[in-house]
Amino acid sequence: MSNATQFYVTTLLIYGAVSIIACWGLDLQFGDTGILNFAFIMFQAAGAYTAAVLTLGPSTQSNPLSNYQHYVFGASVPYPVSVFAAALVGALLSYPIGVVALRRLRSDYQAVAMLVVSLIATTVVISDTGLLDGERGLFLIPKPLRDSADTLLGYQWLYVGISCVFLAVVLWVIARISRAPLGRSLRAIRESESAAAALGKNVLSLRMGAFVVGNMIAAISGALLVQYIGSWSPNGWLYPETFVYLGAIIIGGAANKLGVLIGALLLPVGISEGVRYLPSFGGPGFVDAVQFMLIGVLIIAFMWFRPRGLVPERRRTFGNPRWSFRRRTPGAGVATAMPSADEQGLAG
Amino acid sequence: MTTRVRMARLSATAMLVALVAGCGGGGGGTSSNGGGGTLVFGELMPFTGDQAIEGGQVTNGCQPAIAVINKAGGVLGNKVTCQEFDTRGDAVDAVPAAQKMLATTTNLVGVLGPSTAEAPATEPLLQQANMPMFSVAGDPQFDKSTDPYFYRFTPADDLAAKALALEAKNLGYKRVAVVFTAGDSAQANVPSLQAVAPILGLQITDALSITPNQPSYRTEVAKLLANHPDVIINEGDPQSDATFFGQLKEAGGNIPMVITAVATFSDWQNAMSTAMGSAVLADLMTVIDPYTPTEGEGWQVFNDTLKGLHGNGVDYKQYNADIYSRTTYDACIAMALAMTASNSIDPKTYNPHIADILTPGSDKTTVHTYQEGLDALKASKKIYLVGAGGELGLNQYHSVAGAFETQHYDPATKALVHVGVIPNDELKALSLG
Amino acid sequence: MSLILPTIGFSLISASILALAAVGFTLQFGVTNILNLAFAEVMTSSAFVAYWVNSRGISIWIGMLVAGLFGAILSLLINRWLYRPFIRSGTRLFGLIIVSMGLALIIQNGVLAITGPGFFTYDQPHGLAFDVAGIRFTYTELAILLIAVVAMAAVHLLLTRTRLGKAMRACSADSALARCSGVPTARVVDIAWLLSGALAGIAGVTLFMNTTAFSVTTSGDFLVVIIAAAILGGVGDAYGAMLGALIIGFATEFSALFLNSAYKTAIAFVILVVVLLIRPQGVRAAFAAAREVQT
Repeated sequence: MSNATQFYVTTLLIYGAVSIIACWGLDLQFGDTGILNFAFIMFQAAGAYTAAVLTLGPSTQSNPLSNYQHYVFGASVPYPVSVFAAALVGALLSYPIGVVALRRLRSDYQAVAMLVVSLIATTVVISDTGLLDGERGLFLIPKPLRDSADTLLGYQWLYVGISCVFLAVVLWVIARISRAPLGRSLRAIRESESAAAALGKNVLSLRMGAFVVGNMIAAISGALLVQYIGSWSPNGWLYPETFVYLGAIIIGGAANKLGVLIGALLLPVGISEGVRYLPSFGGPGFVDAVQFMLIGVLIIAFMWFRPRGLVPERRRTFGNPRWSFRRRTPGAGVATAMPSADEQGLAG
Repeated sequence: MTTRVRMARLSATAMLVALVAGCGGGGGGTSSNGGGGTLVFGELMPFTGDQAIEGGQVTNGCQPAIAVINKAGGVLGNKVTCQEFDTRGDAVDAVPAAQKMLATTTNLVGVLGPSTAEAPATEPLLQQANMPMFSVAGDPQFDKSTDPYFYRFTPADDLAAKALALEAKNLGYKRVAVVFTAGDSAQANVPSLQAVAPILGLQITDALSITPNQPSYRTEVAKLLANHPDVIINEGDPQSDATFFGQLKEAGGNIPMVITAVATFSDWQNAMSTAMGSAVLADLMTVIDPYTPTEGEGWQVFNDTLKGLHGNGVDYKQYNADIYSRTTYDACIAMALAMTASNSIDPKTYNPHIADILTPGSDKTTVHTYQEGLDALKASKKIYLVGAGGELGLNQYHSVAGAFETQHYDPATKALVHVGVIPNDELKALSLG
Repeated sequence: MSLILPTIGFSLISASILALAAVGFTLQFGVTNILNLAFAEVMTSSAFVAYWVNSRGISIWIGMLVAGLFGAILSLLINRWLYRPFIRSGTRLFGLIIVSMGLALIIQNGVLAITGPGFFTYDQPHGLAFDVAGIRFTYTELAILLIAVVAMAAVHLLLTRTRLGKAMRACSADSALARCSGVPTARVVDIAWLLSGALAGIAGVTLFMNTTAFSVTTSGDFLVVIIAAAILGGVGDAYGAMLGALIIGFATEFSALFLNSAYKTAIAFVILVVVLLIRPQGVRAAFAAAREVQT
């Protein structure tokens, strides 16, 4: 592979890892617990901003990195600490929002309330330019462990390695939660809140737990991304981004880790490749408009032909929890026996 | 809902799947982009989203340039072409777009872009790949860029803000209201304006950063009028400005306006003349934009070529007066001549010739068009290019010093007319206080 | 402060546009329970149909009627050809949100591919300011106010004075019970989509008239504000949506007066969050029980 191709492939690998991590985090909330978190992208952004300001150093004139930018909480912490701090901020931010949104609202109101919170955050960051450098955003964010590799290309591969480590850790956490009694409790809440509550489960705290952990994972994905690209601004986390992640999960198969992984890699598969072979026609941006239309068509087609996702959630049966490969046929009987998250989304 | 999403982030992963699935065959089909002896100018710009117009500016410089170059027989026997790489105006999308461009474009010889939002993230990547780039990022961090591959043919943001304030003063106004849409625009201009206003003896009555694309600005307008400004300094998108100033007029506020280069777009002019009436607009508006003379052979060829290409992505009306289009055109011509001069299409080799071609010298022949340049180079002369953008005057950081012009709107021709020039030294003097 | 009275007037204008859209959104949401993210794109496409009519030299008011008609038919077809088949095949709330997202992408970019990325203006009457109680309104603004009042009154009469309205309210409150009581729910759902689309079309045109210049993304930027107004009043409740529109209209304009204009919509959203904190079911709580989607 030529150097340029290697740069490209490594970028794709890193973006792929970020996308998978984020989708797993969102799936813990959506697929496993039935929380519709429309503010998800904000938590990713929170992680990214945290990692950025904690590595850029203090925002002073003497700091060459911050010469042209204004931000708060500037510091220079060593590498993995910035990511842990990002996760912590993701968690801290989850609490007030979760307390408001998860406790009392019906689920579609929850979703809208969170969407609105995401928009408020965007407005504040754009308008208060002293906070996180406004719409121009933060840049010159240092690359962690840059000295460990001789060449930039070597560093690209190193960062692929770092991304894989995070991917593995997040997978381990998610898988643990999913298999533990905790995971069963979450699914029980998803299926029926009132039934779970009747069995003595503390619904609010369990939902809160999933919300917090999912958002911590979102923040980690943000930190991973921002330390790779080196700049971050509000245009990178507008609210529709959440829908893209959500679309990826539904296409892949909610509550199935493998499905979500595939969805995270697949959402607009072939399209971005395909349009490159389209002759450039129409005005500027015409081809891009067609590309987005095709993505829309694709999403709808997936929803129609694979409504439960490419790799549907496994049916968990007693005594044989991990090796149940029996294919479920779609149909009313199964649907009633195994109501999916979206079928009872409004319950409670 | 709006479609401004980071598709590249996800479409990049789709590419990854394609690459993995292709098992090494991934590079197979990509030659169709640029192979066969065709050299590519990559347009690394936003083509969708709010900043899509910036992509249009670059396209409307690149298209006439390749037409002119190919008509003259191409570069060293190769045809040239422009190819779009959409950054969506956002760093997260721009990084894979840049990597994709670098990895999959055979015969990529230079980059037109990146734009403001993506420059900090992509400039290091392009430098690493030894790729000359012609950025439109006016941000201060690029004022003294030491990257040998970085060029900027438009003046710094900071300078533009000073030109606005200076013009307000020159017109004899004292009380200035500053109205910018919240975000980039306000961030780039308002602090500079606030800093320079006291030096010029101007009083800022209001510094409004307005939420863009609101259905109504009646309240903001009423508030602004209550402070009785003499003049409004403004930059905004066509929609927000048309809404704001339309409602300002309805509210009885006939206040002179000093507007940035946004007013050079026919979209903006059409929107505003509908909102205010073209006679009123002509009466009240002064436009300050980076100055490039609309005369001379270089400009003439650009103008005629753009006019001839009108349609199918090229918009003569919108972009003929656009400084970004003109300087992008010059960038392409300069790259093509530099390749000819160095007899190489390798960016690493020809890059040093770009600055040389754009620097005047007593031993140099001044050329205005690609054909003239070719002829002079054939005659083994050293050349100095004065193209569609006039004399660019690069400094050691590959940035232009930048003069500004004042323009008025002519409702009869629906175009701006040149009034005067604000020379660079006057603006420089301002920074000394 | 002398600006308070005028600001009340401006708030009413903002609220009028918002009310048209929010009532349209909530009528459909109340009956069908589909959170239709493509609603703003129905506004966009209808308003561009009005632009097409208008650019042929026909009055924008006729254009508005055509837009209303177009919006109604488009919405009906969207339900018949997209949402209904999905619901019949078992897709539920969250899945439908994703479907509507896909649809929004298709419509918005379809319009973009046809019109191009520029800005457009209607040929509409300008000038002609009227002084009403010391507040200066333009002809367009008064017309918008009037249209909103008439539309709201029509919705009110429909809901309270007709059998159809009763049936709609019944479906909105409890669809299964309504069906058991002999209400032809499928037809009611169709009519809800028709009405919602018609209001979307009219709202789209009034929005574009008021902004003077518009583009493909103009109403997309407005979608969350519409949803916020609908939720604020309690989803499914037309009066609640009107009230929500008023609250948000006043909140945005008064925050522009007393606070920073950049936070205009953010303030409206903060109010929504606060209201949901105090009254989790919205201001008018009558219809807030959770329900399943309806075909």
